[in-house]
Formats: sequence, C-alpha cells, structure tokens
Amino acid sequence: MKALLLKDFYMMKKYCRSYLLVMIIFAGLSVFDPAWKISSLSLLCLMAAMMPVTLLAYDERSHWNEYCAALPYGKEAVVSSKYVLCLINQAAVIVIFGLLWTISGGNDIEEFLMTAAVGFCCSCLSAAVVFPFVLWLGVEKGRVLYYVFIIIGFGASGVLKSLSVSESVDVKAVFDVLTFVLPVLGVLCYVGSWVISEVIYGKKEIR
Amino acid sequence: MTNALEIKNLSKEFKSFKLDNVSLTLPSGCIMGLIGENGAGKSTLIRLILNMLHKDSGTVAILGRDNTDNIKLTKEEVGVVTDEVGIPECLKADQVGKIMKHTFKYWDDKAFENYLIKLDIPRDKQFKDFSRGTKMKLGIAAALSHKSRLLLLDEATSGLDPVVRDEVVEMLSDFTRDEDHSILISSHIVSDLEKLCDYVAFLHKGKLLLCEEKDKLLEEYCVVRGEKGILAGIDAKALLNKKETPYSDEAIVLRKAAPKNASISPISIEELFIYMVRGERSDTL
Repeated sequence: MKALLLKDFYMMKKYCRSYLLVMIIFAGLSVFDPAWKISSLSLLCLMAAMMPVTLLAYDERSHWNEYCAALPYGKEAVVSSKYVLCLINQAAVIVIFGLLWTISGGNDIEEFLMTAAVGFCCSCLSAAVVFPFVLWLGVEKGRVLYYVFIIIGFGASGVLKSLSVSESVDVKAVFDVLTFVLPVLGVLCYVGSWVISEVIYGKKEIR
Repeated sequence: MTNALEIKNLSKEFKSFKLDNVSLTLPSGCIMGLIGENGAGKSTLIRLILNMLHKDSGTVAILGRDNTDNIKLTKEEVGVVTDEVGIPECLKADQVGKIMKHTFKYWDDKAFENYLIKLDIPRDKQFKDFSRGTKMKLGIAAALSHKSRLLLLDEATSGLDPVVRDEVVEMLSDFTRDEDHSILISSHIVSDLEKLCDYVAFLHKGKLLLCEEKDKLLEEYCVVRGEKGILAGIDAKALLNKKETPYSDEAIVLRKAAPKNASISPISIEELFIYMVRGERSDTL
C-alpha cells in the first residue's frame, strides 16, 4: 500500500494545486474573519476527502487500473489506499487549520475540536457514500452521486436553519444530539463503506 | 523444469465474444507469440492469465502455480506491459522507480537505472510527454527490473517505429538468454513475432487455431504454386488451405505431401496465419 500512497502523493502534488490555492484562500478568510472558521474547515475537509476521487479519475484516464491489476498489490490494498489517503488528507487539513486558528488568536480549543470533528465526520460520511459507487461504476457516475450527496447535505442544513426560526424546536438540543451522533455515524459509515468497497472491487473484473 | 505457463480448457464468455476452450503451454526459457487480428481475444487471454477477469472454466498455471492461488506472490515474478502501458501521465521515470521499489520485493534499482540510461529514457519529462516508443520502453524497463521470470506483453511492439521495435526485440532476446526466463507476447503484427518467437499460437475469434513450435511449422509446411489442377492429387488432410484463380492454384500443404512437379517455396508465419484464418472463415461460411 506504501507504493500506492506514494503514487497518489506524486499525483496530488501535480494535479491538486488548485485545491491548495482554494485552501489557502479559505484559511486566509478565516484568519481575518472568525465567522468563516466553521464553514471553512468543513469545506476544506470535504475537499480533502474528495481528492482521492479526483485521483481515481486520473487513474482511469491513464489506464492505471489495468496496470495496477497486473502488479502485486491485491485489490484490497488498492481500495484501502484510497480510504487511508482520504483520512490522511483530512488530518493534514485539520492540523494546518489548527495552526492557523492558533496563530490568528483562537484560544477556544473546545470550539476548534468540535468544528474539526463535525467537518471530519461530514466528510467521512460523504466519502463513505461516494467511494463504493466510484469503485464500482467508475468516476463519472460516482461523481454525479457525490454532487447529489452534497446537494442533499446543503438541503438538510437549510432545513435545520429554517428550524431555528421555529420557537417550538430547541435548536441547541438538536445540535447537541448531532454532535454526539455524527462522529459515531461517520465512523460506522466509513468503516462499513470500506468493507463494502473491498467486496465490490474484489469482485470487479478489470477490463 | 516447470512450464512458465500452462493453460487448460480456458473459457470466458461475454455478450458479444467468447474465448473458447483455449489450451496452451509455454515451456520455460521460450518465447511464445500470440498472434491474432484485432478482437481475436489476445488481451482477454492475458487478462484471464493475470486473473483480472474471472474465467468461466479451465485452469491457468503461472510458473507452476495456479493463478487463483496467491496471485500476489506470482505477480512478483511476472512483468507485464500492456498496449497503453498504464503509468500515470504526470509521473517521471525516477518517480516510477521509487513506486516500483515499494511494489516489488526484488526490485533492482541499479538494473532500472541502467535500463533508463541504455534506453535513453529522459528523467526530467513526464510520462505524458514521452513518445509512444519511450512510453513502451519505460514499461519494459520496469517489467525487467524486478527479477521477473515471465514477461506478458500485450501489443507491446504495435505502433513503434522500426528502430525502437528493433531495440525492444533485442532486449527481449537478451531477457530469454536465461533459461528460466520466458515471454508471452501478443501482437497482430506477425513480422515482429516471427523474428523473436520459439512458439506461435494463432488466435481467431476466441478460438486457438494452432499452438506449435515455430521451426517445426516452418519445416512441416510449404507453399505450393502451379498451374490449374496441380493440387488435385494432394491428400485433403495434408492441405491446409488453398487459393484458386482461373489460371493457377496455390496452397499451403504439408511438405511431405507436396507434388514433385510443383513450385515449392518456404512459408512465413504471416502467410500461415492468413491462410489459416481464411480457411476458418470459409469453413464458417
């Protein structure tokens, strides 16, 4: 798997420069305006989680999948490398963002950790949905599903926002529940998705 | 010594194509040319050997091991180069070397370095900027740098200019100087394989028409040309296929059955392949 991760790092260095630029812009925005912090970190985590999907598209274009199937990796390593890369990317984003948070005078560690956990879990959830489809159907169709997931996510947050105007709903209580449920859900879905992807990709014929 | 490759009754059916009951054996130390027109099933056969496709029936043994039994271990000793090579476009040769170092247990950095120099593969260019010949050379350099015992080359010489093709053929010949090294190379360009191979296998529409030692084929068969009716006395079993015009007859026949009054010339593998495919077509008409 080390070889597969190394290959992906080389590819990220080349193909994901635009992501890096967007990350810098958002990180900069959140340094100057604290209101950006939560949304920036969530979005950056989501982008970091999406990078392996972008790399899979490049893999398909260069016929890497066929070549890779002829090398002594094993299909489970191919799948695992993408899931591990997704986690590494998000961890890197959180560490970098944490440093910026501290530099910009943020001293509420609890708020940062909470924000990071929510961003991380949401991204893991989206990756957990996308990976099995991308590995099964290919990147083109899998990506469509990814965008559908994002739209649903935004729709859901819109509904939550509208709830805040209703006095009958205790929004704080909803968020308290979500704070507890999301990480558990995120981890369960991610591990479940990993296992499902290994089964799907294991059965897939490489043509 | 075990055979490098043993395929028995291998079948795989798709919606519009069937690889039908293919059996062949590649002895260690030999080069086998898998010859077939586009769509004959050459790539399908190689993918089945590597267990990339799931076979419907039959068995495949690579270097004496069943290909469903710890294929990862077997792939350590198999070098593969496909038509598209498959190296990511943004990678440079040195990066490919570093990736392969973590891929193969017996990766030989020095051997890879030497191949890069010998084959004049640039280090500062990305794979996408390579010519087709250089891409193929990098694929072959990687396949030869991990102490592989079997090379599977799928259309690896197609589309190369004659100079590069000659270089590649020379490298492959060098590889098989070791008696333990074998190559299965597929191509629809028969002349490439004619120079290189010890064995030839003809694949046509998913069926194996023939798998035989090249020299034996060239010894056994010949082309007979002569005036109309010259083929009349030849035993039908000795006649592989014939071409008739209003003025003359031409056929591929077993040399021992050739009429003495006819003009006899040696046959090339390309001629033999074309005749066999034509014969197959006329049989199915």
